[in-house]
Amino acid sequence: MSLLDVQRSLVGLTRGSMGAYENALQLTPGEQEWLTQILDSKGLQVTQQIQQWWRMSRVCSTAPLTIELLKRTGLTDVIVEYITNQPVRTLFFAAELEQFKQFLENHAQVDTTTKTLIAFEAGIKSASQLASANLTTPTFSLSLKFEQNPLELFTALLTGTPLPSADSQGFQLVVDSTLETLWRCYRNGAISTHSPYEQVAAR
Amino acid sequence: MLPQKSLRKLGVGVNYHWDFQDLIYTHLDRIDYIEVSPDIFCEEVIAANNSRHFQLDARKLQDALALGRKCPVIVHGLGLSLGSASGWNADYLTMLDNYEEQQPFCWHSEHLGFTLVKNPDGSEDHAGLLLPMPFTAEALDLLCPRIQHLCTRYSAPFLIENTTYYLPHFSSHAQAWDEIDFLNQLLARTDCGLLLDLYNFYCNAINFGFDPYAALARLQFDRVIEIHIAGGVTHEGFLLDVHSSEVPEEVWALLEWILPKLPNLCAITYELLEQALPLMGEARIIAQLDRCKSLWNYYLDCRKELDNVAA
Repeated sequence: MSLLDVQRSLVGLTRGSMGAYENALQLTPGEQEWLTQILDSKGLQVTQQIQQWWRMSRVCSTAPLTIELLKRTGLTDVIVEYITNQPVRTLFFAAELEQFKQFLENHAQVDTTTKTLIAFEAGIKSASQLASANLTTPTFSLSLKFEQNPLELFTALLTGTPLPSADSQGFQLVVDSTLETLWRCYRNGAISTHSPYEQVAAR
Repeated sequence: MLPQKSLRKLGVGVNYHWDFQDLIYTHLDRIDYIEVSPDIFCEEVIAANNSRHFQLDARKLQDALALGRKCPVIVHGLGLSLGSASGWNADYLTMLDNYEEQQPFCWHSEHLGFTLVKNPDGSEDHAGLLLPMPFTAEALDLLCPRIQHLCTRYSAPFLIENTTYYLPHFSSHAQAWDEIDFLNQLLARTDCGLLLDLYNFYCNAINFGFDPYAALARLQFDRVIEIHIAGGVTHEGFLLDVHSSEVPEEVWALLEWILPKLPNLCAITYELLEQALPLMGEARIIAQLDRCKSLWNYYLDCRKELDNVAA
């Protein structure tokens, strides 16, 4: 077994699967014994858990509102599905958030509000990165339509109060790296105050 | 050039995180240097074609540079994936090149492990945590030229750090090296120094049931330049490397035992996760640094005595 095969095996095992790859390898008895030892070891379970903890902490710290909304709407399984089934791509926060956003966008069980919310949180991350880099160009700008009042939605998610119902008024949320608070809420085209919610943008 | 020829003894330090800024500024009389992982000032951007590049957070970097003007800086990398058979993360080195232009550092170090692997179809997988290298000749052949490159790429020396592992080690029938054998081989074939993470080593000893004293006694002591100490938690019967608490008494004892044996030691770093700051509180963290400093002074006394005897 080459070093590359050993490393592919270890990465596959820590993701809970070796797939078709393991079967394609011509393993010596010693190599087969090593793989069996790993599969039988408690250390494998611990390694998998450490990987999942780190990943969960990245998602929870960059998308706390989305995570809370998924829990509130009975979709905790979707979070578990992401953590356990989606390939790990990175140890970094923004890249993990982007992958989580793409996963939710393509998930049939996830509703429009959640998809809009994850787009908002990913947008805030992108905007804050550009703002921190002190670059005048490029800029980041994103416009999102909410079915509920987003300020009421954020409050409900942050304080554990009931979620707001849909509102017929048009709510638009603009995320922009050139804005001091990085985002602004519009209601029927007029700016809606969001000062109590700046903690979201300041994250 | 071997690292011990050019290094000054720094003393006791702590890993840098912006959450620790107040603590470090307040206790600069206790903290002799900071250990910086430049990766933490970056975010990774993964393009559609799977290429990776780092995007720097200038604000976070500027804060660290300001502190770097108050005390010496050493670098401890996280993202190189030094041991990946399918190629390391070259963008990490580009990032470190840029960092070196702005922040001089006494030495830099990386973990003995890998995180990235390319699949047969060309796609890339990430382990999601640092995985250990097998202690084999093939791994040694891969690592040595890479380490030697790192020894000469910067004006500062390079140290390799031992890591924790929780999985049974792969070994071929041709060799039966253990961790110390492997580290000694790496040191013999390159000019790097060793960042001996005593806590990591202690975790491995507990988790895999070997005597850390007997194992460490075989280490090439003159190449140890820096020591890491930390604390963690036990989970499912495994002692974990999470840097979340006080250093266990057993690790303090190991430190006291090994210090007089290390002629070229320059620094002892207490590693702490930023999440541990509110849990431990400043007083408990400072107590750890003070205990470390008293052992550092003991070390200096031992060295003076030994030098006098030798003279």
